[in-house]
Parts: sequence; C-alpha cells; structure tokens
Amino acid sequence: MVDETDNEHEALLISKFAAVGIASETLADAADVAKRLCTQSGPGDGGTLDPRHYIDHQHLFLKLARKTSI
Amino acid sequence: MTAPLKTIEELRVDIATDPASIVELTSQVLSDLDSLGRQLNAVVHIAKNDAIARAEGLRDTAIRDEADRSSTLFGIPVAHKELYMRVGWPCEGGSKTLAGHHAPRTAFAVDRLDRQGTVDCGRLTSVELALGTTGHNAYAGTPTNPWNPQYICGGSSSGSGAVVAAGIVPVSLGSDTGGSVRLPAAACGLVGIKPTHGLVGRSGVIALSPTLDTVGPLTRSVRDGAIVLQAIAAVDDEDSSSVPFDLPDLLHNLEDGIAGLRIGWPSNHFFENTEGSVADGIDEVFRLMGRLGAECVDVEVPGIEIANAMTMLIIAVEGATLHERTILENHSAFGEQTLARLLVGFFIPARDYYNALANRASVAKRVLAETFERVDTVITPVWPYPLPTIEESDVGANPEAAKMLLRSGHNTRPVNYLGFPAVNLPTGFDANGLPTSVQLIGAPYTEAKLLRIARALERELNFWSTRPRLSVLAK
Repeated sequence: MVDETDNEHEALLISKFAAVGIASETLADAADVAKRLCTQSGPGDGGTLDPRHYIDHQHLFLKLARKTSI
Repeated sequence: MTAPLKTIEELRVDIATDPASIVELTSQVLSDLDSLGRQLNAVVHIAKNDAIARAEGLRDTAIRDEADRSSTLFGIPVAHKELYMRVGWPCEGGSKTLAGHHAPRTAFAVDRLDRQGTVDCGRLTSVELALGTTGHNAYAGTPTNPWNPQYICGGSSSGSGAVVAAGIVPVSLGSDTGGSVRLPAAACGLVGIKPTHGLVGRSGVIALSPTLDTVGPLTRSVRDGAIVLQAIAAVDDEDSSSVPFDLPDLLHNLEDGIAGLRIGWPSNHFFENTEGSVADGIDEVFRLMGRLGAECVDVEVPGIEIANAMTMLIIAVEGATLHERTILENHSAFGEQTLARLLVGFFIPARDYYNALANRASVAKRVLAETFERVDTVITPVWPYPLPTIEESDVGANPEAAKMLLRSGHNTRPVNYLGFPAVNLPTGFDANGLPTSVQLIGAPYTEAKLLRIARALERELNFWSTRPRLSVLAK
C-alpha cells in the first residue's frame, strides 16, 4: 500500500540521505526493496488494532517457560 | 602443527590428568589462531597476554587444589565472534565504522563461560555488523572454508565457523538474527544452536535487531553444544527479552535415542525452491530417523511464508535505526552492501513495522497449535542449494548473485521470527566435497529434545570421522 503520504515521505528521505552524499540510485533501490518487503509481508492476521499483540510474543514465551518448567 | 580436533570432554580429561596442560593447550591455540586462523582470514584479535595469564592462573589454582574444577569447561580454550565484548579488547563488529573501538564491558554470555573456567583467546571475523549470510567482508576479511578455501564459510558468524571447523578451538559463540549461527555451521560441518528467544542473555553483544537477535554456540559435536548451551543459558538482567527458564540437564537424556518421537516433514515453504540434491539429502536423513524408531509424518507450518519477509523487514528497520547516526555522519565507512541493506529500513512505513511485530505472537501460536502439537521437531534444509564459492556469491563483483543470496536465509529467517529453537547438524558431503546438513526446529524450550534427536543422528552419521578430508589439515 503506497499512498501520497508515502510518496512524500520517500522523497523527503531520499533528499535527507542524498544531502550527505549517498547516491540517489542507491536510495531508489533501497526504497524499491522496502516496497517489495512490505508487499510480501502482507497484512497478517494478528489484529493490529489490539494493543495486546505488541507485547504478546514476550508474554507467550513467559507463559511457555513456566509451563515447560513444570 | 595444528590443534587435535578434540572435543571439550576429551580436553577435559587431559586437563584433569595434568592441570599444567592448560597453559600448553592455550599456547597451541594462540599459535594456531596466528597461523592457520589468519590463513583462513578468520581472526581479528589474538589476546596472547590475557589468555596466557588466564591459563597460568587457572593452572596454579588447580595445582594448589584451590580451583572449582567441577565444570567440564575448566581450562577449555575458546574464541568468539567479534560482536562479543570483553572489556578493553578491540570490538569493531567487522565494520570500519567502529575502527579502533574497544569494548566498554564484557558480554553476559562470555562472563558465564568465564565463570566456568574457559580461557578466552581472541575474536573472530564477522560479516559487517552481522548483516549478511555469505561471510564476505571487504574490511575485516572474508574467511575461507576449511574444507575447501574456494568456498564460503557462510555468515554472519563466518570466523567462528572456520576456526571451529579447522579444529583450533572446540567452541565459538556466534549470533543468529536470521540464520547467522546455522548458516556457517552448515557450511563448515558444525553443530550450530539457535536457542529459544530469551533463553541466553545478549547484553554486551553488538546488536543488529534486538527483536530477533539470539546468541548460541558452534561446536563440532552435539555433546559440546549441549555443554556450552547449559553454561550460557541464564537470566540476563540487562536484556529485556530474557526469560527465566530452568533448563534441564542437557546431557541427562542426550543418549536416549529417538524411538517414539515424532518427526515432521514440512509440506509448505521449506522445500520450495530447494535444489533436488539438497532435498534428497534431507529425505535420506528423514528415512534414517524412521529406521531409528521415530514416527515420521508430513506436517504443515501455518503462516510461515510471511515470516520470511517479516524477518527481513524487522531487521531492516531496527538495523537502520541503530546505525542512522553513523550513516548520516560517515556513510562511506560502511561496506557498499551493508549500507544498501541498512538503507532499506528507512523506507519501510511505521505501520508495516508495527504489523510485523504485532503478528509475531499469532503466527507463533498457530505453529505451536497446528505443528508442534503433532510433532516434536520439523526437519528442513539450512542452505536451499549447494554451497557456493566465494566468487560466485560475491554480490559486489557479480550482481547476479543477489537473487541467490536472497534465498540463502529462506529456511532460517522464519525461525527467528517465531523465536523458536533450532539446531543445525552436519550429515555428510555434497558433490563438491562440502558439508551437507539438516535443520531441526522445535517448540520453545525444547532444546533438550532437539539435541537428543541431533545426537541420535550424529551417532549414526559420524560426520567428523571423515576429518582427513578437511583440506587445511591435509597440508
């Protein structure tokens, strides 16, 4: 998903890093790889609006550690 | 004269018989690091004075019978990936951006080994900032494979793979964010353990992606791997991912075999785009497991397809964030490939990064419920193709190599996303005389079971009995 805000953000980033001397071709390649990764990773099914999910992985492993220890 | 390829337990017998041999052994290792290790491009720092002083101290306390010599690791020489800090030692992480940097502290895992009596002899080459799978590093050097110097060692723990395979030390700690312990272990014919996320503390190891980074050992035997993992698995108060877990005695059931255990052949993802010769080799091992009494079944690993891209996305964002300041101030100090990989992270929208994190638990829960309720381990390849040469896999010199390298972590990255443990076990040799291997993936905290399965296979396959084929030792 790329919208106008994404395009503006990408142009700002390219400008920021080009200003320190990084080749624009290198930056454009990085932006392309990023888009491909975002497409490949897809939306997933984790219910990202649910705040529990952010910490859920660590919580899951704490629970599994207790369960496996017993 | 090269080191004798002894296991930790064999060296331990020598040391128990003659404590003075700690100093001789350490001197031998230091000499080998300086000659063979440098010949392999695998060594970045040899701590001669510190190591000899440490060995003499251990020897003296042992002779006076004042030392606690109960640990199997007492007097054992080690050398680790250059991401591992020891206070005052050079610590460049394989990057010119850290040239001249010295460590301000000692890594948690290194300290755990110190407490068991190991003798730390130096630091070994890493791919720049651990961001790469082949071992190429224009700044620190590209290690060559001890089985054939034209071939890669794999990465990013490339020096660890080369030095342990060459028999210089019995163990080296590596780090694994997307396969960086397992890929060099597979390339060099070693046992490589990627522990459950949070089992081994990571403080004092240069980070690549704090969400996905794990640390683990590369060894020549399963028993050695078990001994070292037992020593380093502990709660690290300075690592927020650290999980308290009472790891069972990993040697206790190690020789119990695999009769009755359930082995899963993944019906999705892992064998896609895998070359026939590699898949055939895994199939042979799978059949062997059946003959050893295991129940072998096909199994699906749900959701694993997106885990590969999710892993790359998280590494890109976190790597970019960690190194942003250096990129802005001194980008030309990075290797070309490293800079290109880091830059990707800046172009990933926050919502996609959040999405990758938020989905991690649900994917892990599905795999636990639908895969590991049915099987004890899933068997997969590590490298999806026969090991390439250094020249074939050099993206800088050969742009066509990029696609091949993108596939290199196909089978390892998803395990980091899940946070599950995995073990690489060498199984034989390919048509080019390079090691072949299998990856055994398990549910969280089942390292004891994974190592037991690996040990049963190791007894049958006896990989290291073929050590005369190791080219560096044949010279």
